[in-house]
Amino acid sequence: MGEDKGRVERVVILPARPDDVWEVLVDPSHLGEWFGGRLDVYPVPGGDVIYTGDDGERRRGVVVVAHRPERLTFWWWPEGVGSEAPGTRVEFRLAEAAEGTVLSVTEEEGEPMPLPPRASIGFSARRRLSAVGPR
Amino acid sequence: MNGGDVGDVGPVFSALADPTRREVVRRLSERGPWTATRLATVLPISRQAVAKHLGALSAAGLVEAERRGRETVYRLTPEPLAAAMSWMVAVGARWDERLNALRAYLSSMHGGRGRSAGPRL
Repeated sequence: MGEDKGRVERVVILPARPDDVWEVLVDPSHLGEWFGGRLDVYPVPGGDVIYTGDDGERRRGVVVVAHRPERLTFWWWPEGVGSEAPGTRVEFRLAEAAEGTVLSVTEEEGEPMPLPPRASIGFSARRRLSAVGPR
Repeated sequence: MNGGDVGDVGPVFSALADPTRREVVRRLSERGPWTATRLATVLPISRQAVAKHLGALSAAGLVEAERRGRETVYRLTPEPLAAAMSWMVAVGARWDERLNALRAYLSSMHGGRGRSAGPRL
């Protein structure tokens, strides 16, 4: 991604190991504690991203990269707007540090949506999986 | 403000990715409106190259051409720039909030230290 995009980047040091931070990035019960609004992320390539903000804003998205516990990337875009609506790419990168984890978050304006090869995976499958299997 | 909505700021960032165009914007903001010829006297490029950059800036809505007698002068129209900046400010502010909350949440879980005990899942 070049510098010709709208781009925001933040880096923070968090007091937990990358594995634990990863859980907090993808588990809905943890996400509810910090993300603001409700975010569901199914962390596999092609997995759904569904967001409802506290203000009622709705976004849809799709996971592009999910490398636990190092990198999570998804695209999301405003729901209910035409498919050509501009979306943004959100990327979390985690690296182990003495203090815990260095987390960088980037949100940037998108190229046209590069959907992963797998079709979108719904949450019903996820719920079934989590209902029967160990975490 | 809808912090995640990019709107149409993309062309603005694109136009400003070029250092010469940023310089043109700077000159116009300080001294504008100027003609392409006048801009070429203070930039290390030809009048034709200046005209091309002005075309790109104009396409992004950042400058406006205006006939003045026999001359065409270019005036900065910074509204799209303000939209681009407000996108970055709004999206940045959201992540600042989220990351502050994330840090506080993890700290409360881990007693404020970088202990290795994982969150209770």
